[in-house]
Amino acid sequence: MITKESLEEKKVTELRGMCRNMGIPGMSKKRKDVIIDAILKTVQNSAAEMAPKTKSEPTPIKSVVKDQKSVDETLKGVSGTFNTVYDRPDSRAGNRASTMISVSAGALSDKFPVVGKSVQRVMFLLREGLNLKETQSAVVNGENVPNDYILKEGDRLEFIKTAGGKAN
Amino acid sequence: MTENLNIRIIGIGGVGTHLSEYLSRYFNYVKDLNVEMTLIDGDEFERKNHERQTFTTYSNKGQTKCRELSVEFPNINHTFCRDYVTNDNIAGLIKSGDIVFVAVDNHKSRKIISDYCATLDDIILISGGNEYHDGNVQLYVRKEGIDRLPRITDYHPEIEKPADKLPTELSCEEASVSEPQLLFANIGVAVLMTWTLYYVLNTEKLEYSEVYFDMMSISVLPKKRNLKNR
Repeated sequence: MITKESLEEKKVTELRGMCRNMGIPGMSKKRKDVIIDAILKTVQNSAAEMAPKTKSEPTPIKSVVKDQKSVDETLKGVSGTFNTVYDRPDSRAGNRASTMISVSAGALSDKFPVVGKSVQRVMFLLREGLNLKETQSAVVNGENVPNDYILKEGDRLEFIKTAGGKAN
Repeated sequence: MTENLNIRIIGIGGVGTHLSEYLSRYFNYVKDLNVEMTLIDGDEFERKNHERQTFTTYSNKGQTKCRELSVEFPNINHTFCRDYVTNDNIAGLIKSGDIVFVAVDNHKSRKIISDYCATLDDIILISGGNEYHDGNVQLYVRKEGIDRLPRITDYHPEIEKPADKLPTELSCEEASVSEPQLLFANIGVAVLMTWTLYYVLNTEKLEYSEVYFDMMSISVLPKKRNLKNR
């Protein structure tokens, strides 16, 4: 569990390393308190992203950007419509579109809504749930991938757990 | 028509003792099959091993287990080797066509065995290991000089570039230090190795090259990984 207290005990170099691993840009010359705030904010956002959706929140079939002004401010003119693909049109309502993919590490496995995220980001998001270490390499659909690989619909992500050392 | 099966079990300790018993009991009652089982270990059974290993006398592990199994399972030709596997002796211990089980305590031995097996035409290599309450079993198959599954070093840099030592390289002090292990984890590896053997002998399409288990989540999960381009 990352807390403000635990972060304050770390050195600035350690905090900057955490930022790199978490994909937080622009922290290489920031003060310690600024870095800590950025990490805590990212952790909070990640927790919100990973929280399971309740039944009262129906899965949107088509999401249209409504607040164009705010988007323009951050994306400088980029706008668009984001669609969810019906890849199982014959399934029952609510199960026709999938955005969950299988993520595993060792014997632990589950499905998570991480399509569109990088492997490195998923490693950070799921580090506690799947007991991941920073050094674990990633395999998607049976092939080694770099940490900046962006996950796609239908991918199967595995973080390779080190082989058991003992037996004798 | 009678077939021949040559099984080599390297490491007759917490995993190897149980594995050798399970395999002996199974193959002792299979008809039309000549089984030779070689038990390879340079270590002696000690009093401190009692809680995880089954031996009747304090002596070389391979030799002792060979004597015990020969009495109980006479249809199998049990033999033993009192050495650790090294680069110098491996060619005399493993031949093309063998089924090799690796139940050792170090990745350097796994690397030596994996590299050698990759030079043979036909081999089935099943390697297992555990930590305190989890572990894994890897399967490597090579037929007619072609890899059918990834090598056990391919997705595991800790085996490809091992940081540990061979038993023959350890000082007496180093050899006397051992981390605690759980009997159930050893048995878990041994059982999964038998499952893996059954899988490789009975499946037409090889897909799984590794299986993990974790006692704290009561879970077992097989893995599919692609062959590396060589």
